[in-house]
Amino acid sequence: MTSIPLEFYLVVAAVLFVIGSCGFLARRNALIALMSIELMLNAVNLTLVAFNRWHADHHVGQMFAFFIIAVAAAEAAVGLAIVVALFRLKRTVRTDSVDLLKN
Amino acid sequence: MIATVVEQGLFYLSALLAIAGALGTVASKSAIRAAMSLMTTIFGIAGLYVTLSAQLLAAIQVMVYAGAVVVLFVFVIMLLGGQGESSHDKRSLWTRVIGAGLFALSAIIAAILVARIGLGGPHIFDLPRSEFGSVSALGKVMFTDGVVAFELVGVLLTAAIVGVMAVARTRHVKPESKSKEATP
Repeated sequence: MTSIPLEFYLVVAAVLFVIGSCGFLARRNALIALMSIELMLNAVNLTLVAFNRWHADHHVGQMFAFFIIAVAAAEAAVGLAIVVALFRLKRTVRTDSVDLLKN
Repeated sequence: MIATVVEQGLFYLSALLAIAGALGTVASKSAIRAAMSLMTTIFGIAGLYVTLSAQLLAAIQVMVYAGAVVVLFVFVIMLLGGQGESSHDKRSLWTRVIGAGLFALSAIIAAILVARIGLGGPHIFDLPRSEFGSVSALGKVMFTDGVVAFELVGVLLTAAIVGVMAVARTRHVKPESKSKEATP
């Protein structure tokens, strides 16, 4: 499995990260904003695993990607709990209707 | 020769799935379609892990993301109903056009930078050791060098569970619905 250069993976990861950040900044649905965060974390994981494949004499990048997956799972659980609590309070999941601390 | 063709096909198919799924996640109107597109992206990235000979991470990716995170998203979407369909966006069209243009520009610049300037020429991978990315090799590293971080991840997940229960069971519902919940 040696016919794809490293740069291809890095380009795919960069494009995924930019799409994720675009979605996080532009979408007003809190659930889709959380999914965009997952996209960005996946892009970072892909970069880590690709560089670990380049330095193939150890497994530090893959180990780091494993920990990032665990943190992302915890983050998704907490974020979704916050969304559910927000929906109970405001009857919506749109982030621009959350202005309790604004006035 | 056949292996090269298979590998390139797997890479391009997985990259296409990942990027198309990411675009669908960000651009789709309904949240359930966004969740399904996110699952497409996750399978694409798992395929990319396989081409990078990280088989354990590909399996973990499918199990944790497709099996837990996306299912959790779908549960919450179904729990909240068809919210977010009516989009009264207060921002003007001009602001959106400028934002989209800036993001497209930054994506193109990032791709060009990574592909051309930053590293100087295509970097072809060496053939890895036979145990690279296997369960035993990665597990050995994880329980020797990374054992402290591994235990701390356990603490983090426990704290996340407790925090989720504390946030999700906050009492600001009306008393009649609370008594209805208390007596099933």
